[in-house]
Amino acid sequence: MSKFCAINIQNNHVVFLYMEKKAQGYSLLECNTIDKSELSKYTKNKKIFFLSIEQDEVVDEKISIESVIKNDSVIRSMILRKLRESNLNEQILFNYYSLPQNQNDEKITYQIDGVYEERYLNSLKLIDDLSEIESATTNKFSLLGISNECIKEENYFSIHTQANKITTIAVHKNALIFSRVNTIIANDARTRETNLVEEITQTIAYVQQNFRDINFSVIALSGSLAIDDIIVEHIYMMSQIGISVLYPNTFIKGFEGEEAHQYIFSLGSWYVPKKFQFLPTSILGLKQYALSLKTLLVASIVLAFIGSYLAYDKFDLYSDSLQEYEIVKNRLDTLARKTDTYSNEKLNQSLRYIQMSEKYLEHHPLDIILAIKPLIELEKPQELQWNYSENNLKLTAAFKRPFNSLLELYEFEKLFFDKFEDINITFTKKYLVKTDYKKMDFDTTITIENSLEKATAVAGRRRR
Amino acid sequence: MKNIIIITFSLLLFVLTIALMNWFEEEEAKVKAINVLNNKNIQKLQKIAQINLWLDHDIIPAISDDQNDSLMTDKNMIYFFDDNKDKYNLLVDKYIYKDDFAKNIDLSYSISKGGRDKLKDFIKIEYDDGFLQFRELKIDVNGIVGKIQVVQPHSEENNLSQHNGEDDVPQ
Repeated sequence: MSKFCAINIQNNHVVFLYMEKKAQGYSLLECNTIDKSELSKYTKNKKIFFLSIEQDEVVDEKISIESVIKNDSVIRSMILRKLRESNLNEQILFNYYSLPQNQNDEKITYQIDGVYEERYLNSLKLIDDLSEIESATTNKFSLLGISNECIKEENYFSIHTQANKITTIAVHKNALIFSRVNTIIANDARTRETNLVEEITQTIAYVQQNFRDINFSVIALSGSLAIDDIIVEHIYMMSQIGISVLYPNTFIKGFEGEEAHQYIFSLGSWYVPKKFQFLPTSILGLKQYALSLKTLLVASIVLAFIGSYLAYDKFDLYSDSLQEYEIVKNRLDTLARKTDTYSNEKLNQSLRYIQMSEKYLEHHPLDIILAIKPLIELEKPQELQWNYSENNLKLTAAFKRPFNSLLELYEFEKLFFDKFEDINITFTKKYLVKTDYKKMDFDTTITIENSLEKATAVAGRRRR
Repeated sequence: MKNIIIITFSLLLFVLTIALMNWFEEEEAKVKAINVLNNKNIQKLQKIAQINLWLDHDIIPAISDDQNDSLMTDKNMIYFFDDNKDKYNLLVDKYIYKDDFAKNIDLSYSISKGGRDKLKDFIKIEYDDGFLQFRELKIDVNGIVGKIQVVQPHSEENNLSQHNGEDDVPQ
């Protein structure tokens, strides 16, 4: 809330203040006293209104209720019943608050302040946009508001005079315990002065009589009364209570001297606590609607931004994938153009050739002969037979050699069979020993065939 | 009224952008799927190119054009026999016969004792128009004998000679 309007709607005119809230207080931007019909011109394009409305007829009642009853709805219904009994049949907006009581009292006395809704609404409707009304109340509560800001005493009177109207309030611990609005009638200044003093002092005496336990320490004056020294002196002499003047200039800038006293009700309008405000439910509804609309507006704009961001994000990813598509497609097209494709006939021909190569080049006698080369180098075989038919492969080689000494035979055998064991081949290898040890004739036939059984010794003696 | 218009517009914009977001998401998924497929096709083409290189280098040059000519395929085998029969004492064991994708002729050979060098040559021998499959090799004190199978690849559609077995083999 930076700039706002404080408006005091009187019977015949309107006091319009345009204020600005600053760190150190408030500052007056504009002040006008205007006709009611001109108000809409001043409120155009402005927001936030604090209203203080003069009401000639108000509800000012008291009700005593058992102290055990605390429920707000119950108290309100009891108040309404009392008001109906008082023949108040019009719609009323009212607030209530408890008055100070003695400890022994079983009942609590409530002050009821109210306004007649229809007449009150007529004043409110001077504002074009009702949802911008932040607060609305009657003049005496505005006086209470500004007085609490200026006077820091616990119990005091605040009296405001404007022309012949006197507004008197008694304050106890920042709460209103008494109020009265009088109009004095006088033909001349002297009579007016006398009536004024009499009225004020009688009112003060009345309050003191009714609130004996409260010690009022100061009378705060405002309005035309604040600048009249003689009246102030008389009031002091009659009441024997210290006199003070409301001086809002310390926290509200823009007024010179006592200029602020002309605008006391307007200046107090934004200091009124909620419990002293009168806002019809229709206006509360409008405010809630306006708030909901603002919230919805913000939310919808935020959602629109979020949606736009998400859509842009997805668009970005989509765009990237399209770029990648172009690159990959071009690459594919280039590769497809460059890559030769052979006819099925050619491919089948190649496949047949490869299959035939695998079949007919799988086995060659040299493969196994090379495998047993260490044995051949040791002793050329007397006989070598290699056979491959119907997928069966077999090699047999007969090694024969005569020896003169058993030692030579033994050593040859050892070497031969070691080399045989070392043959690294996937086929089955075996040997048949036919060595004649009497004649020392080495005779061994090795067989290699294409099965995966382990190598085994078949018959014959073999010495190691 | 102005606020209501803005709210309506903002909410419409929000709904539109969400719909647009979903559409972009769907389209992106489709494009990504296409890209994955295209990348797979690229890999396949690269693989094909590799295979083509291998075929061009190692396989196709080895495939004789004569395969399509039935007469030539027969003659090739016969030329091989005639060219080598004296050197290695080749004899026809089984005259030209067919199996799966090849024509064959089974020959026996013999190399006299002391002809180890001839054996070395023979064992390295190649049949340029097809394959030589050794079937038998026997080395003993008497010499070197054995059998080989000459394999001639041919095209299936052609009219093939159907000579069968030893009955037709001139000895």
